[in-house]
Amino acid sequence: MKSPYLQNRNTPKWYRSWTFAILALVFAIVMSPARIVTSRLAVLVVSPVWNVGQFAVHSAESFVAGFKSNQALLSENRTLQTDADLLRERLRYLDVLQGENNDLKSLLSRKRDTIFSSTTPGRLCPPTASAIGAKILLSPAQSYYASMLVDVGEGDEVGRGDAVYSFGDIVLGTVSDVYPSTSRVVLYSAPKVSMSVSLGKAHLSVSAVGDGDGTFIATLPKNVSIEVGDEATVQAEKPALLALVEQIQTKGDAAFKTIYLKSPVSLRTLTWVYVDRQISTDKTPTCLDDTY
Amino acid sequence: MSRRYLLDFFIIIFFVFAPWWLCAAALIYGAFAFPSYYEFLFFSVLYDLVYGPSSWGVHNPIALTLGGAVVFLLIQLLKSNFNLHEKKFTR
Repeated sequence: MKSPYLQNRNTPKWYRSWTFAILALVFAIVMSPARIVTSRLAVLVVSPVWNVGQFAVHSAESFVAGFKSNQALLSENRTLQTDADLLRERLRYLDVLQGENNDLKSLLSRKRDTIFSSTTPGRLCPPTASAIGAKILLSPAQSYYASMLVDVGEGDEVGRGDAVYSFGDIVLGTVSDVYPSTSRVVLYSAPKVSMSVSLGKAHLSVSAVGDGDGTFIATLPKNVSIEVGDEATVQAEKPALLALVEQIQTKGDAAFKTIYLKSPVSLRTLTWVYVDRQISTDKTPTCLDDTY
Repeated sequence: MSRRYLLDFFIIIFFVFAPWWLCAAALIYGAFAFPSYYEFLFFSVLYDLVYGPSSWGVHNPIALTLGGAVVFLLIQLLKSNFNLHEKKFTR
């Protein structure tokens, strides 16, 4: 005999026409060409919430800091930490530049201009006027798609495909979608994203595959010489450091070894980046204050 | 009903400021706790529209919509089979 529970069981609701009608509508929205419009609209609606949120967090921090009566120290500490991070990134990048400079001098006797973005304590300045500083609205750590949203968009002449760098001149990714006042950046380190890099002192051309959170994986023949700390640079007009060799793993008699690379930039704590726009301008770079 | 609004409010906060999985966890709780919790589908779509890539590339731009729809249907199926909603969660 069936228990009263089973006898009184309700008719399953999961196949109700309502649910399927709504599901059909959902897929119609996200699959159709109207997605572009709805996506822009959604970003437009959510943008003020981000801004209000960032303002609220900043206000709360200031309020609490005021009570502690050491706001000046906190501010100075924050500035020094930013500067220390930048210097660390640059120190790595300097090796890449030095190596390349030596190569160029020996081959072409050509002098190259400096490409460093200039900074003073508390100020972040992009290297050229075509570059524009941007605040990260959504960090990659938050996003399922390992992408980030920055607060510059069509109004700032940002375009699809523009490269995005940290202020230590480490390349991070490219702009994939542009909205009126925001842009979405797809990181090179996003899972499954593959890109060609120049690896190590021998400048080996290899394919590095993103593994999430600023890490990459590459495979090389076992007999190729690679050391921990070697640089992986993006093969482009502007030499840009992407990551450093973190670990090398060889399994038994395998003919290949796996190279684990990691970006020197901590994506979780990064707050500012700059977008290298594909525009030409004679203006001087616009610097940012490293405060809200 | 006020519990439902409260959860919706927290989901909005998580949606903007917290990692995606926190938002997903809150939505799954909501789908179990409340009848016809269509907010689940709404936020799945909104997440893909706001944070997902606009075209098919390396990533599937409707991953969360697709995953959300499947999870939503499974939860409805589980709820109707185990009668959880009527016994425990209705307010």
